[in-house]
Amino acid sequence: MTFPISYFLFFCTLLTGTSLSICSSSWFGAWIGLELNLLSFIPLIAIKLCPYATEAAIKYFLIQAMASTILIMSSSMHMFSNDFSYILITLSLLLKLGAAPLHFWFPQVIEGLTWPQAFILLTIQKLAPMFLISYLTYSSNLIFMITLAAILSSLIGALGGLNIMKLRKLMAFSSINHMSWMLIAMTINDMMWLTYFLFYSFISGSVIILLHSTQTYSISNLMNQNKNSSILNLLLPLNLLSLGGLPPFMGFSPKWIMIQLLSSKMMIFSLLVILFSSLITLYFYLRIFIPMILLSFPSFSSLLKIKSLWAFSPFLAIFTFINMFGLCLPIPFSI
Amino acid sequence: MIWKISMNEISMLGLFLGSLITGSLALLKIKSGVMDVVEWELFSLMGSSIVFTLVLDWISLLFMSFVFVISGSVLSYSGSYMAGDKTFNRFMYLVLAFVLSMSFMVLSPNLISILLGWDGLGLVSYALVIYYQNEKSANAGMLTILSNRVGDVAILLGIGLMSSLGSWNFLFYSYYMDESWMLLKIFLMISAMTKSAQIPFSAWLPAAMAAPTPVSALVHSSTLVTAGVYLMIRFSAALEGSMIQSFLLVISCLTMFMAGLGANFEYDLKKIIALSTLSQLGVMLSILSLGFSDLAFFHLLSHALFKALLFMCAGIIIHSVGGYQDIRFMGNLVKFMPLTVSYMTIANLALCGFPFMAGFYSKDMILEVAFMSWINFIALLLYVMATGLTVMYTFRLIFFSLTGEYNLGSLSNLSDEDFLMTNSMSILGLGAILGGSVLSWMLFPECYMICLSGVMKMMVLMVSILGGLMGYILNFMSVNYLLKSIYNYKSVVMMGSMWFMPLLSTLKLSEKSLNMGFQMEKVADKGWFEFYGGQGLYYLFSQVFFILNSLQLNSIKVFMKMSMVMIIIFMILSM
Amino acid sequence: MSHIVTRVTTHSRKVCSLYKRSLRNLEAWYDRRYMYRYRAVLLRARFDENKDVKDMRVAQQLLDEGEKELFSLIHYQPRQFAYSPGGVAHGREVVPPDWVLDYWHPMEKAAYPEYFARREQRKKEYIEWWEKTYGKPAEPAH
Repeated sequence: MTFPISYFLFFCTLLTGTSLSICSSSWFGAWIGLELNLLSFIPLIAIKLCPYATEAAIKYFLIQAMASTILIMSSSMHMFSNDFSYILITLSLLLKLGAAPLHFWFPQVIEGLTWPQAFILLTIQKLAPMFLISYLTYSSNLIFMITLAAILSSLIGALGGLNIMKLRKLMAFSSINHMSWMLIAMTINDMMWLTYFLFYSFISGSVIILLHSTQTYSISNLMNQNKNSSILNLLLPLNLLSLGGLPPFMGFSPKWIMIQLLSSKMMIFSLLVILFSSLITLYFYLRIFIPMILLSFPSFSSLLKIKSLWAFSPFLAIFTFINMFGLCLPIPFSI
Repeated sequence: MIWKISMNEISMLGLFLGSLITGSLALLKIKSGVMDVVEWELFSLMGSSIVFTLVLDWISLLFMSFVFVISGSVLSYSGSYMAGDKTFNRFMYLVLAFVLSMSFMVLSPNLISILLGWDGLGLVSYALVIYYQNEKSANAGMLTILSNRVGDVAILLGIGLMSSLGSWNFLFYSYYMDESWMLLKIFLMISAMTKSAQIPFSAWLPAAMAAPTPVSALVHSSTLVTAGVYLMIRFSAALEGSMIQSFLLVISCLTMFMAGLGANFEYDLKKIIALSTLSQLGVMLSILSLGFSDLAFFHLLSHALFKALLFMCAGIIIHSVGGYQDIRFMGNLVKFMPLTVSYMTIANLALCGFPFMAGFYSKDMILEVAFMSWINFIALLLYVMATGLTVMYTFRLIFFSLTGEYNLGSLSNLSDEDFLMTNSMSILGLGAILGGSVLSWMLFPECYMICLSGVMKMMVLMVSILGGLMGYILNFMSVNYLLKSIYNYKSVVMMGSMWFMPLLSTLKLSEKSLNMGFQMEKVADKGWFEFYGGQGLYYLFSQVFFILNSLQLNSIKVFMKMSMVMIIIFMILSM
Repeated sequence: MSHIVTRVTTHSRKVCSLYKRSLRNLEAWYDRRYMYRYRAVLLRARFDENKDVKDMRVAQQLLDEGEKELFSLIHYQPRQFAYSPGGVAHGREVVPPDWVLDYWHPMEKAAYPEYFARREQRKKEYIEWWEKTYGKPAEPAH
């Protein structure tokens, strides 16, 4: 794990941009933060001069620039048409997020990234637009639009990832699907979506660490490479199930809370849609690891056979522990 | 071998001792009128406490005493009856397990802890029915256990319902249950009906006669089948004035009549007695549903005495005629086994309600009280006819097996010489004579006031005499006599096979459900559900996926355009 | 598999079977011996009436009618011998077949060393005898 010092710099500015846009009191400030964030993410992607990374950087830049343009334009319009400008702002933020009807760029960009960059794209890069959208949930019109985007992204995230063989793309679609939960949560409760976001980042981190340590980018890689690593065979399915939200794992708890929240608010229709589509995502998570389990050789050793897994073992241990026992997390608070 | 012989003696001694203790405790309880309740709380769940209850009052203690005395005699009796059996010890342990679960059932009228005994009774009776390993026993056992399972499920559902009360002590809660607890009452009634083999579930009781005869004497006549009646006695406060009462009255009267009629056309010795048990269960439940649970309990106890005796006599007869149970193979037994036949006649007369025998005190009182209370004409008719039919089948049985022509095989060895069997019947014989009067002095220190017109008062006696005459005389035949049964073939077959109830509850039920399952599997599981379920959904999703994927296979320029289009569409939508 | 007809039953056998079943049925209905004899004689007379029918079509028709009549009068509780198939006491005690002993656990067998040693000996003798009588079994083709 060596990386150039400039990584550190750009990472700092990236975080600065995010926090700037979250904390700013005007749309102009938010825009500046977003631009800073964008411009420091580009070098992070393109720091290795390989064609895939460059392509991804260019694509990311173009789309984000377009979204920023719309954002700054509509925020300046908001003096003469309040409604119109806010709708445009929301749409531009959705475009930045990669939420459903504006999601086209998202899988394409993530294809060119390495796993750590993909992790940044899946989590940190979502933070600022999410926060900004959450500031906008005051009129029924906007809430309607956000809900619509949520429902669409749940469907598209589930159905779009159905037959995909590339793991990064799959993570992108699963992130689109999870985004729908966050967007729905946003229309109800600010705290709720943040909780969901934290859980999501945690679990996707746990999956990505595993995939990164074995340098796996597609399902066929998974089957070929790790014949002897029973620990991977054990942990990856569990983490993926957690990501899918299967009850004994941690991924279920935010969904549980959300289900309760939505049914208490009588938002049955949107609840049904996102629940069903989560079920479909569970199907494609299963599709990742079922061949891996079935085609692996039986082995009795539970040692970490792959060197690179050792480097991550403390993280792995923590992540896995939390994944397994995350559902017990609320217990200390309930006593 | 020494152990084999002493096993039945030891258990008999122990059980008689237990009977003595519980009986004397029951006398103390009757005198003092005190009920001791012991509750052991297992755990408390969401405010509902799950307890093991022991209720020691005169009802449970007296019942226990009777169970012990009957099982003691039966165990001693089976020492000779089952002597040649390879698995004699298993038989003994099973009967003892039966006594144990019976005591659990009797002593803990709490809907949860009664399950221990209730399910135990079902299980043990199943194991006893399939004790002989032929096909008939296996079928009968399956019918028995599945019919009883319906009642177990009803109790389980009742537990679910009662959990809202916070306790399952139905003995005490039954006083406060109004019509809003209808469902629970229905469930408990169903479970009582299955155990006591009332009408839709009565097929199992005659079928269970595939068990060894001592088992029939103890389990399927005197104790197990009265578990349903006992449950209803404990629950009787809730039945008071509810719709359930009238429903139960109709069902039990019908059962009484059906069984009495069926016994007149039955040829299997044990099944005749089983049907008479069924008829007496109908009597108990009917008087219970008229609101006289003490009379039902009285009849339960006296009936247990003489019915066990009757079965034991039947066992000796079957044993000595060489395994035959068909009464057409018997006849004129009075010449060969006078002691057994006299015990059997005593039990039979007690069953008919012959004056001053055990059955007279309970049955006559029940009938008179029933005639006195508000029942409709049909119920009255059923009572009268069932009374007549009881005497009728009894006399038919006497005619066929005890008197008449000698119909046995040419090689037979009939005698009363087996003293182990005849001695163990003596206590019950005493009970069949004296039990009714003793019990009535004990349970009813004050007399019931009976006020009937002369005709109604004499009705029971007249009907009984008429039934007896018909039962005996109708079976005389002359040589060129044409059998009337053949000309009324259809009705005879219907009455002879318990109104087709065994067929309906075995063949029809399984046929229909199997067919239904087959259709369901063909049409649904492997048909439309698959087409629109798994395969259809997968096809649909794949189609959607291909559309979405083809959108993905574009350049960044197209993406930007598409985003603009989407933004415009959204703007229009939200305007 | 009893419903599959594997052999031709002659007409006379069918008639005899009908006659026997009718007798048993009469026995079930008329439970006194002398009455049953009277009815049996009448039944025999009915059968004898048509014993000289040579036309097979008529005979067949008579047989069918007889079967039908028997079916319409079949007793609901036929009188059955206790230890015969269908009787109450039939097959009450299962006699375990001899080969069950071969599946005993070695530990169980060790409890009766003499018996099992002799049993093995007898088995060997039987195989020898069989091979001497019938020759060695042919080797499997494949």
